[in-house]
Amino acid sequence: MAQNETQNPALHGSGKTNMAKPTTWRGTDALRSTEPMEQPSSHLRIRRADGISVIEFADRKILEELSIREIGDELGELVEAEPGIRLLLNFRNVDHLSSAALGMLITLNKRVKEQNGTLKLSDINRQIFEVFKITRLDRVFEIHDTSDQALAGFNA
Amino acid sequence: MRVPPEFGVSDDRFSEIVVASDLRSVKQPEARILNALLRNNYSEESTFAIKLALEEALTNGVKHGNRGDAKKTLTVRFYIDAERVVIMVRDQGAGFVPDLVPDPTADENLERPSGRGIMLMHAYMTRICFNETGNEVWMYKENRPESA
Repeated sequence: MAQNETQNPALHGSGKTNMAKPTTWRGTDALRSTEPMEQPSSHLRIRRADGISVIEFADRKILEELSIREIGDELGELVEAEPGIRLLLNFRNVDHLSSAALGMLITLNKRVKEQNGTLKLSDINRQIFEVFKITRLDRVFEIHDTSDQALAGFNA
Repeated sequence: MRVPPEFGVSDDRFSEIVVASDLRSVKQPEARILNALLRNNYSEESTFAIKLALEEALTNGVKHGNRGDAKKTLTVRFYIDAERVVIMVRDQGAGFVPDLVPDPTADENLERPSGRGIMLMHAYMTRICFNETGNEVWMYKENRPESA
């Protein structure tokens, strides 16, 4: 179990003591390999950078309707496991969005705030950012051009 | 409801697909429509807009119109040429009154997790309209290079 915690601070709330440097991307399925009852696949790639959980979506169509609930649940688990979580969602793999995906992000943002955490979004392409602007959700979310800018803001 | 005359396409020129009312089945008409856009050289920007509006209409039909009842069906009719797209989505639900849907961009509604589908359809298509019952939506978009 100790070994598992080292590999997976995000899921076990030990981020404060496990300030791992950026590592390679990996799916949560790999992180959960000791828990056979978990779903065998993940829509997310999670890495840890200076106590910040950096999330990428595993493929471009990931925010389509069929996957949204699963993604929301998976992100919700991360947030519940770590009060004060610092979470960055990197949208570089996302080229489509829906109102349901926006709803999932709003719910996630609320849960993060309830846990006294911080959620930031980065690397949103022009078309997707337009959706945030049209819906005025660019006022609700903290959006940065690049993940480096977002990460720097966490540490400021 | 017949094709709104201002869309300039006669009723008999439409393709029609009827699918089971679930999120997986509605991928079939979506794929047909996206292929037709490709064949007609629609820009990436227009395709993004039409896909987004279409998915909102299909999702609304499955979730809100047919209320998740997979025994019901959705009917999709579409006409696509190089100048315009006309798409109709009809569910078997009781309908709704579009004017009564709260404005999702109002400050007090900004953090509500739902209610953005129709405004996105309006934003990304040239025109949308509903039948009187509210269980049928017509969407029209002109294919202009500068249109978003």
